[in-house]
Amino acid sequence: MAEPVVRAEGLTKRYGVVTVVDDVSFELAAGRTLAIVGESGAGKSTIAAMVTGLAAPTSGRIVVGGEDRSVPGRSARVRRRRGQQLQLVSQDPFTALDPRQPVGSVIAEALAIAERAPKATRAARAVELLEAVGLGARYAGAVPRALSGGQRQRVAIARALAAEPAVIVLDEAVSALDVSVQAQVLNLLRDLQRETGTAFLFITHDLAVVRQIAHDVLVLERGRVVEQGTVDRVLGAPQEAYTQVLLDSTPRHGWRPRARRPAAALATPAASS
Amino acid sequence: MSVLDVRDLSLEIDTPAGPVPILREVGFTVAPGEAVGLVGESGSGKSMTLRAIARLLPPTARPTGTIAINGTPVGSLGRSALRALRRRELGFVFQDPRAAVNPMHRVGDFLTEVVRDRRGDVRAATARAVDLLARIGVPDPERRLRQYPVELSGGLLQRVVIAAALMGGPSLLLADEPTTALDVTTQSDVLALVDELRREQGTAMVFVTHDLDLALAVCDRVVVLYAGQVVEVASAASLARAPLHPYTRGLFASRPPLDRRVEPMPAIDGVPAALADVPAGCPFQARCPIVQDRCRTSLPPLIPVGDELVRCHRVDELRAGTLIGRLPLVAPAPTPAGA
Amino acid sequence: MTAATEVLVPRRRIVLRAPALGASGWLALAVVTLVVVLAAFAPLVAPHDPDTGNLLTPYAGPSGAHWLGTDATGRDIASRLIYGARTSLLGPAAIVLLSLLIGVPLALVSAWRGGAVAFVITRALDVLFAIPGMLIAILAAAVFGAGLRSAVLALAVAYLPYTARVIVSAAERERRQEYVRALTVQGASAVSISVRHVLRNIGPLIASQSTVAFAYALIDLASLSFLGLAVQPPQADWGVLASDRDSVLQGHSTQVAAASVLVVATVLALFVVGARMAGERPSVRGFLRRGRAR
Repeated sequence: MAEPVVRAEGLTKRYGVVTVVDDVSFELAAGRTLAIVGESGAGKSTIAAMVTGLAAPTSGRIVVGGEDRSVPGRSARVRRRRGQQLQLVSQDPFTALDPRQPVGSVIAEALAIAERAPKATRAARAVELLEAVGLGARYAGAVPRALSGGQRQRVAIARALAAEPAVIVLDEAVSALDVSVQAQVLNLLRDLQRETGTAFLFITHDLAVVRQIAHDVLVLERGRVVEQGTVDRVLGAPQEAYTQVLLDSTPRHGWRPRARRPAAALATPAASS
Repeated sequence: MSVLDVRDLSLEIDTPAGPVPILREVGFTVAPGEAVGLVGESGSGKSMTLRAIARLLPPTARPTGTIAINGTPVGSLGRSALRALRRRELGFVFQDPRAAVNPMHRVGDFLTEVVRDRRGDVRAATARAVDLLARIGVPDPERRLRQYPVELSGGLLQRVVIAAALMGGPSLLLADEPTTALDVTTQSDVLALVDELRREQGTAMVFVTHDLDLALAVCDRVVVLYAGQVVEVASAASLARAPLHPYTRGLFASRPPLDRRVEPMPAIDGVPAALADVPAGCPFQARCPIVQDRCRTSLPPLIPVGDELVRCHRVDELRAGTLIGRLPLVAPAPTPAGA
Repeated sequence: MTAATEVLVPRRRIVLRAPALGASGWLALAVVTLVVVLAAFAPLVAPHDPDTGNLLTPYAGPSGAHWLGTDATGRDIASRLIYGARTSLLGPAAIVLLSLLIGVPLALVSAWRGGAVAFVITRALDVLFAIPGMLIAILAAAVFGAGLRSAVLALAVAYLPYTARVIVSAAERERRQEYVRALTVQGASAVSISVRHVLRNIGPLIASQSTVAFAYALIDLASLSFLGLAVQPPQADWGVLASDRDSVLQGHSTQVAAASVLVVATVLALFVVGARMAGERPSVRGFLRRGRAR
């Protein structure tokens, strides 16, 4: 089997005495989407930070495209190569782009940094990318301040695509979007994956989104892997209680909120899943 | 008599660039003990509506219309009368619990403050607070009372805030995305708690959210807002079964289902609009799959359909089901019971 | 899949869009512009040579030939004031530029690296903060001899912490923005991010900051010249011209008065413009408060 695009081995992150990520291992194959799902404090964002190189693991390692990322890259060449392999789209569309930089320039700069287009063709390629994410050439001069959240996320996706990476890390990338816009962006991501073969590492807390976007899923609780496998298996026939609890708590058609009360509590019997 | 009666609520905000319209003739009622959801996306004006009800608008806001709580119009109340009304009749829960609680006061002080205002007996109030904390599933409640808000997790604190809001026995609870910032598991717990306490005390609720599923699960009736206007009002049951307005149906269809992969996901074209951005006519015209010429020129009124209200010129065709093919699928099959 | 109703693409805004200067701001800007023009075109504007005197007509009163009269050695006061604008403006400009040249890179490095580097830089700036600028200048004059160059260097060092401190906190804030992380992941170098993004976004802040610093530098330098520690007579400079006590004692106070008014007016105008650029309403209290902190 081909070498996975991303491989995490025994990832651990400790801050003092607190262990935020505990011995997490996973693999992401080319052209597929792995979702890392968990609640707040589960360590998902820390894992994303370690994968993208913004934080160093306490132990364990991250291998992206065959290269060990645990060692920070110092030289420009190393930085560029890493950028060519892995890109990031993060949650907040409002701060993810330089607020004063026109969108076309954002994409052109990304192309320049990743050296994916010579100066002569950069502008044209930038427009191509904008069109690929559903924005037209007329957005090239727009400033992020004038765009909606969904449009900004599209720009962020185009920027990530500019580097033609093997994998894009999407850290809660659709969580801040309106429902109707989220559907558009999910469709876009699926189309892009089919066209470009880019793998996605999708961090989210929303199981319904996981069902739509991911092939494989990893369930995280308090820094530890609870369950891992294909989406159909994990969401369809979960084997761990925690996964079941997450499923039961996800609002959907016909759902009603139920409380899980500690046994010690009181009159009404605890109603669990 | 309705607990809340909102009529023809319109709102403009003064900005350096001129007045910006936010709401247009929003109206709905809340019966005693009833939970009404205000559902909408960005620009819908749902939060502003809630703030108008609570009279928590910024000084640059200029509302018109009437808002009556238990028959009393709140627009004309003086400051002390308003304060008394809030204390007596209203409870508030906002998205961020840490913004609602004074971080310098202990949790116990916060809880008994509400009760102290009304009963005057601190010892009894403290006992009630301990009782309440135990009810909402807080272990070791006496210790918690002595703690400061910063020592509690977000979910726990929000539960305390809700308990405090409901402890005074208000007739109306105003909740603005109270669980959006919480984990799903905590959200489930918190909403179950709200439901239980509400029913016990007969408290009505206005529940603002962007999550349609949540509103249907928690509320008796739902008001759907788009671009500062009401587009559909229906009971949760009938909305879940058969939403009529094209926007509501689009919203339904765009929710990612949990039980299966849908490719492609039906999505409404375009971006949610705010009132200031929509031209004359129907606010949804730019994104509507069944738009006609008259939609661009005349604003459809809210047309009664059974016990529902729908703002669409083509409501008869919607009801007859002749447009099913043009509109996205209505609610997907419900997941099996027990979920 | 295209989005149907999209936000219309706005016209590209010019980076330094005309800020809301307000009436006072525009008036102040006019004053500053006038002074700058006078300094720049002094040879064309000044009626006489500033250094050539006529011993036959000392202390002449205002007349058609000499708008403000002449000084003790018959030199035209008006021309000396006009030429004096040059040193009075160049000196502070040099001070501000020097402190920016050192301060901005220091601030960017400090904001970027954080940790020990930021600690050392901030503490060093704090030490400089603690020493009054005038004291440094007087010491410099004592050690290196009185003159414009040592005064400028001393004040540049003294002003360093003022420019740097504000820029550091602004740069730190920009640094923490999500887009900086995104650029880092893309592989952009720290230098390119700092210069192309962080610096550009805090540019307006630096501009308004510098304008106010310029104002204070003007006073400080003029004061030093007044004391004889910076510009030396017979060089025409507002500070020097304002220090001519002899002419005042002899009853001819036009020169001193005019020089003082020019200093005060220019400084206030600069302060108003700087405050407006930062979006504040200029106030006497604000002016004094900032002054006292020095």
